This record gives sequence, structure tokens and C-alpha cells, in this order.
Amino acid sequence: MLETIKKPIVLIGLGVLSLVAVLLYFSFNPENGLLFPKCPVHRYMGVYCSGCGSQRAIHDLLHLRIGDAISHNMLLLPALFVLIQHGLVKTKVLKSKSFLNYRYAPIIVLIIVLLFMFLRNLKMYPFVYLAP
Amino acid sequence: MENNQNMPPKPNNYMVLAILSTIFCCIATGIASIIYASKVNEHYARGEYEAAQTASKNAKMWGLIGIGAAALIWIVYFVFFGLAIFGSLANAGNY
Repeated sequence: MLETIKKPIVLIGLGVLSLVAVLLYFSFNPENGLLFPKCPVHRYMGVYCSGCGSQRAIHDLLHLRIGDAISHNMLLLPALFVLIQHGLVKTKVLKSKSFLNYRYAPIIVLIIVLLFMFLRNLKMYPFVYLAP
Repeated sequence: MENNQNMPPKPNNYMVLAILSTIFCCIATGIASIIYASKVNEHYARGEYEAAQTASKNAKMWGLIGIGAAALIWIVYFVFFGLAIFGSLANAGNY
């Protein structure tokens, strides 16, 4: 079932790439560097998308600053949690069902992503905290 | 009327790709991918296996477009700016 297992080269490549990415995101702060590309949606359309701030959030997470990570992108942590749980189920480490395999999972993700994108662009009091 | 016992297993809806593409690239490809993922589930639940398979292919395509675009942006960006930054760091020798 797990297609990627059949392609060890792809898997090793992805592993090396992620390692390089983790090292880069650990060593450099995307906040004050030119090293990382800015979000194209924010750059060209002027709005925050649901992924905006995730690079900074990854940097924060790698330095164990959970609060900063949440303030830069509230959805990154839950997203990572869901992806890791999915990975653990797929590799049979966990016996439970992957959250992503539920019938309404895509719809729920869609609603959360769109709602988050809408709310974080509001320039009103409680919602300004959602902006990256 | 087909019943679920005779159905082949559900086609992959590529939600992982969809989420990765939403986070790291472009909201548009991510959302397209999520919508096709939900179509996979709905068609499959109604027993429309062929339609589910088509939606699965579309979900995969949009997910991969998103990841590919993100990779492309990163590589192009890094080639243009990253090398220059590393060059200046090496010249400055500030440690």
C-alpha cells in the first residue's frame, strides 16, 4: 500500500532534503534574513494566506519556542501533529486510524484553512493575533 | 447498487500532499487538492469508484504542482540570493 516504501531512492532523497532544510531553518531566522523566500501570496496579493509565517514558526519550533511558533502560524503545530500521526499509522507504529482517513477530514481541513485565512486578515482586535 | 464489501480499497486522496502544499506553497493549489481529496471520499462513499479514482488523480496532480512550485521557488530564490549571501558572509569572515 505504501508506495514510497517501494522507492527507497526517493525516500533517501527526501530524508537528505529534510535534514538540510531542518539545519537551514535551525541556523537562520527567516524573520531577518534574505535567505528564505517570502510567501508569494503575501508578496503579490497583499493578503496573509494560511501558510504565511510557517517558515518562522518552523524556526521557532526548532528552538523550542512554542509560543512564538503559535503566534507566527497557529495551524502549523496541529498540521504537523496530524501529519506525524498519519505517518506513524502508515508505518504501523500506531494501530489507530489516521485522522486524515476519516470521511470528512478533507472538508474539515478545508473549512479550518479558509476560516483561518479569512480571520487572520481582519484588522480587528482579537484577530490581529492570528496574523503572522 | 454496489455495496461496499465488493468495492476495491479507497483510492488515495493525497491529503498529506494537500496539507504540505497548503503550508509551504500556494493556498490555491493546496485548496484545489483538498477539494479533490474530499471528492475522493464522497464518490467512494457513494460507491462511484471510477469517479473517486479520477478525483484521486486530480488531487495528486494539484498536490504535486504545489510541492513542485514550492521547490522551484526555493531553488530559484536560493540560486539568486542564497549564493550572494553566502559569498558576502565568506568574504566578511565575521564569526
